[in-house]
Amino acid sequence: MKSAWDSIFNSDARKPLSPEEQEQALRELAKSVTDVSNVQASPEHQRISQLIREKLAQQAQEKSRS
Amino acid sequence: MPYQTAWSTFFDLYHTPLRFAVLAAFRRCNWDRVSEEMLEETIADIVVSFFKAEFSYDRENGKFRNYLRQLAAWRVRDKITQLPKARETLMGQLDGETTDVQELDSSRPPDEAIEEKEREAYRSALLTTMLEDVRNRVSPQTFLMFEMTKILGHSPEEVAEQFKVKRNVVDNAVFRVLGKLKELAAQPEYRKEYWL
Repeated sequence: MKSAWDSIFNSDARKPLSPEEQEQALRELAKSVTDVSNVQASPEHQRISQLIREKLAQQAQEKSRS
Repeated sequence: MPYQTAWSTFFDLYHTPLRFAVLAAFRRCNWDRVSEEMLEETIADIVVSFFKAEFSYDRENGKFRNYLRQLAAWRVRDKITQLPKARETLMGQLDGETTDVQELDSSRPPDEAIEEKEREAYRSALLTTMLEDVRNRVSPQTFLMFEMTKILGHSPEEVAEQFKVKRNVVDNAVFRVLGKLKELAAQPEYRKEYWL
């Protein structure tokens, strides 16, 4: 399905959007933001964040030793 | 843009596209069932390698999405070669004909369902990145009015009452944020990334 953002990324920034296009674009944006926020709140996200912290700390330690 | 930020912000925005990029890369190595543990470990490796000294993304040389996908392919290959038994199994599946994991990268057509999910997730992450960019370009009140009406779904009247302003102030905030988003969408940096 064609996204309202396809037209936005295609057209000149000064070109006004129709009210329908505008509403569709905002709905799609809200869905994107909600999807991303839901993932951020997931246990998987917390686990991987912790793993990254540990790996970065380990690297920093190794670097300071060498 | 995501490559100009802290690792936590980058990961907050790009977790899902990375997840699908990793799944797609494993699949290209004939690895259909990846444990959640291995998946998470590989995603963490990508974020770490992205932010450490080996970071080498140059936007003049291509799309950020392609760079992330390449990074995913490298880290997946590392993971597979680090697991001797797994590697053996993998080679066994191919009757010993292939001796290098890199050769496996192109041995299998991409799984369209995973690729499509990765594309969708990347676009969602990109739109969210743009909105975060706009957050720094308008007043906190304007952004909050927009966020409350268009992202959190409150009615404009309710938001106007909460801020003790007229309804048209809320409408103007939405108009202003949308205008900024359109301006960003016209920038080559974002435009290049949107068209996958």
